[in-house]
Amino acid sequence: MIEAYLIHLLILIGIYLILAISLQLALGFNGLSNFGHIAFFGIGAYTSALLALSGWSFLICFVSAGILAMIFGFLLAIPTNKLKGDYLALATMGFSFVVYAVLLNWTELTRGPLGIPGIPRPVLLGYSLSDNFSFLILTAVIALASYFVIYRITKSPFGKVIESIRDDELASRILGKNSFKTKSIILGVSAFFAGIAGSLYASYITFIDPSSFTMMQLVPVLLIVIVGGLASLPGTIMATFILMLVPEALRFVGFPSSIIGPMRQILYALILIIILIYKPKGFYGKVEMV
Amino acid sequence: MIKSRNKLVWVLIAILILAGVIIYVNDQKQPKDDVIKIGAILPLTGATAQYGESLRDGMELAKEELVKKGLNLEIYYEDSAGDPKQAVSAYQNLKLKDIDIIVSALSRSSMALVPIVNNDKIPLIMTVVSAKMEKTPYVLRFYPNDTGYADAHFSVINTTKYKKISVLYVNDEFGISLKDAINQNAKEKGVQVVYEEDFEPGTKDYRTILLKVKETSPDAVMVVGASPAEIIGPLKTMKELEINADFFEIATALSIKSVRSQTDTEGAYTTAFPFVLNKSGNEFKEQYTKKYREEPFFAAPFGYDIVNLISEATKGEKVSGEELLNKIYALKTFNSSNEIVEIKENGEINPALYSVKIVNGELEEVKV
Repeated sequence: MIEAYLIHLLILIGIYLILAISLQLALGFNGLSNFGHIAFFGIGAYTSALLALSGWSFLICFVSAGILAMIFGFLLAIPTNKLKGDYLALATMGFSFVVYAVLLNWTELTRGPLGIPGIPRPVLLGYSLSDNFSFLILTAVIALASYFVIYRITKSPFGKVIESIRDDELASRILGKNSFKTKSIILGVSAFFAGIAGSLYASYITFIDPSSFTMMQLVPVLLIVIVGGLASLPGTIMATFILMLVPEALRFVGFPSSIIGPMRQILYALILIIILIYKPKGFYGKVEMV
Repeated sequence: MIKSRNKLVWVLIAILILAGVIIYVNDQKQPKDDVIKIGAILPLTGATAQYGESLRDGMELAKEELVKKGLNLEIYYEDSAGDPKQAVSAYQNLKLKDIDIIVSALSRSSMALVPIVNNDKIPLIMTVVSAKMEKTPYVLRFYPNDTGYADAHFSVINTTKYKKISVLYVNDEFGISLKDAINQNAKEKGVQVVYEEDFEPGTKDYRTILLKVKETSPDAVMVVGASPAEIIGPLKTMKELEINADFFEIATALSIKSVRSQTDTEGAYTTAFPFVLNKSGNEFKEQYTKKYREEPFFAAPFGYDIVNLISEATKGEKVSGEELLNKIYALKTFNSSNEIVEIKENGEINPALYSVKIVNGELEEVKV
């Protein structure tokens, strides 16, 4: 019985790991305060869910989710090219509000607030991943592959360019680096991974609605990135495990029923505050939060 | 740097080991296996916590009474915060306790549980869920469905007086489902819907929408809101704009005394559960007020009734899965705090709602 619970937690950790490392790529490595990340997650989830319900195979749903989110990532880079810091954060936040409004109001396509229930579980090469263990293997493989790709990007010469743009964009441009192109690629790649995380989320939870993709849902992902430390992939992994497991461990603390909900939230908040007091740059943070 | 990294790795390992030990220890100390175990996945935090808290209070009251009668049962509460992901996590956690039946509240979190409980063959009773839904084998709904609210008004209103109506509804699953039910009823009764518009949850300013409503000169304005503020807001604005039409709430907020006292609600129509009108559930109301020193919120009797329904079906005997579900269906009817309800074959257990008019601050039942 305990295995089923642990498998469920590991699946969620896998999905959030993809989401967090993709945000880390944009925010930590490239310095893009991308608050629209949750919108890419939503675009991926809805694309995958709608295609799956129309009878398309999981592979097509999954890839399309990533590609469509990536296209929106590229598109978002155009109007936000010259924005930085708080202004970029506000603009990308606006993007996530627009996506939320579309998901909520385009009822013919998305069913609006009613959400999309009954999203089928993936079938890969004729093998149904209806049990959680096989879904965990799929999630683990995709999370590892995502980590590997993002790790390779950050360690490549291109990775040095994105970090140089984060540290001093003007200097990078003087050295002949095309900052717009670089930032567009990073937003696109980051959105792609958020999109595939959305596809996995929709296939696993089997129900999505617009409220699952609001700014509030971005908060835990941002927390993972901050607690893990900006521009640190190992820190992100560590933070994902800790921040996903701590609230679950608190479920086992026997509070009286009258205070069970708020008490767990207070303890969780306290743990976060203590971590950030002792590690203000996160576990392995390399750069300061702007 | 390397030293501090090592320290952190050890801290992480210690946390994981501690979590593992807690989980293991809890797994070992399971309660006796001869009692019915109810898992309640309720919104105990967040914007909808009021529903979860009053459902929990109702469930606790029922448990206390049953234990006094010698019928043992265990209830395990988990917080969903109204979020599907958290509801699924809560469910997986409850499964560790070998749960026999799940109780959940609110559409969003309940919908995420439906495919899982059907797969695991664990019965689920949903409450405070009115949205349209398909029947699935292991799921029951103990609450009025989407048509219940609209039917309550349309079964009694004078359709010769109300030829034209305007509909305002909150843009969420509750609002959309009920708006469709209003349109269906209006069509059947030959009432014309001259204007309909949605508003976002938490809207504060209803002037623009109601000015458009005023232009259509309706005989009645029907408002579907998910929270008291979404009913009080349009009602206040209607009076300010001097819109000469009757106000119908297609929900139950105005049936709560403390909500009615917030503004001039005189002459407005709302729907009310039987226990609010003292048609039934008086004993429950008395016990609840005695225990918690406050009047029960309308969700509380549903928590109370669900626990009693499970107890009546099982008679204290430990049953689970399909057998438990069959025992609930075998009851056919149940004497709830909201009158006798029918347990329908499609999984619906829908208590009645009554159309009421507010006269001198009190609720007066509207009769044909």
